[in-house]
Amino acid sequence: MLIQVCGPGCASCTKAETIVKGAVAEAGVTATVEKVSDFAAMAKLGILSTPSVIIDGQIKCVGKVPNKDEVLAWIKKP
Amino acid sequence: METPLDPPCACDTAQTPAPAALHRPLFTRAVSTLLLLVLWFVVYHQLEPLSRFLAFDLTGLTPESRGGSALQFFLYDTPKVLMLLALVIYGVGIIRTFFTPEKTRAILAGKSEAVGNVLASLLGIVTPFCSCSAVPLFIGFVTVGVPLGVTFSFLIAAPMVNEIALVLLYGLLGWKIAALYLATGLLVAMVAGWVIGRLSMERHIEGWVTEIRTSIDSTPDQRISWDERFRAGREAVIDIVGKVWIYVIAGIAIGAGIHGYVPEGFMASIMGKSAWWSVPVAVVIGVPMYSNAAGIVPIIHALLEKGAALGTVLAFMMSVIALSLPEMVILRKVLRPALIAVFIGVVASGILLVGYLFNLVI
Repeated sequence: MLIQVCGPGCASCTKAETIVKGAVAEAGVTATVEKVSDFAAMAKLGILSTPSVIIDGQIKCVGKVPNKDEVLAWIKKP
Repeated sequence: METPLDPPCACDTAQTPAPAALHRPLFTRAVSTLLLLVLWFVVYHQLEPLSRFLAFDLTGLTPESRGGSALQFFLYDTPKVLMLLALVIYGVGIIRTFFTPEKTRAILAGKSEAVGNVLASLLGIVTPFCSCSAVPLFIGFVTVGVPLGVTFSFLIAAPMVNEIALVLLYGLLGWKIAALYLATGLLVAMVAGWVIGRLSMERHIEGWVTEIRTSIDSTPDQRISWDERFRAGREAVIDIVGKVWIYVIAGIAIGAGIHGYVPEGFMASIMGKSAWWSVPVAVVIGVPMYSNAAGIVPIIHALLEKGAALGTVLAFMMSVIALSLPEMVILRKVLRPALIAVFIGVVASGILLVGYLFNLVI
């Protein structure tokens, strides 16, 4: 599973990354968490506002910091 | 929605609270919301009498005394403004769930310039926007064919015409001034965006941006239930009020101090109508500053009371909110210096004109 957290490096984007990593650890799932800070890459992924979370190419949340339960739900969905 | 000085990003840093209330039937949710509204109105109308009671009857101070009037100002305005903020942010939070940057982009792509400028400015008010999303949003807009000027109209309107500024203006200065700010803010956004579009500065966008190819369909539409919409409203209140309340209180405290202790007409000499240079100076000081509306409006209220001219004060407020150094630093990633200079210049000129107009007319 590839999880990409998009954000230019501001406080909330960093927070989103921390939450995602925490959720991954808690769920015990094998996943790579990647921080995307490059704007060109973000644009290619179709992201218009940050922070954003993309799991295996699917955009899960845009423009807000997700809470841990939301992330767990996304990870556990088959 | 803009906030604290240090981080250039104004997005909320608070984690969105875990969904505590499970899916209640829509009916129950609507009824409880209605009851809360009624309660809100009842409490709201008790605020002024309560503030007078606390400030004068309990302490023995008189309305004519400096301490008494400052205290009453503070005790009335603080809960009043906080309650207004909570109400409006809740409502706007729900409205914003109907608008996403993706939908806005789809609406604007391919529209002709003048129509686009108007639409973009209006959409800028209701589309959720955070200043660190400025770059992704800019790229996303221009690469699908939203004209440069139209994109700028959006980028000007979004931070400047925000609900916090409007609520505070309404709560402290009345609906007329709030409406004026809304109207002129939109006007500046539309005209400035249109002017920038006319200048054909597309060559001044950083090269790598124009090489990106994106399509509008790349983002799937996210379906939201009404329960989630109400939740979004609640979360918005907790997040935003949780961040700005301290600035509101600080601003009102300063305003109360000015209200009680600064002599009438004191500001007239430096910020009054007769000082023709006060408007440009206000704009020049305001542009590099960055603050949230929550802290600035209460101070402006007090300044106005002491004789500062409305145009000068509004120009100052707009320049502080609409343009900021952190925002320019972020935009430098996608805009060449000439375009940034034009952006600042056109918006500042617009604000300057608004300032002079108000001083002349009102």
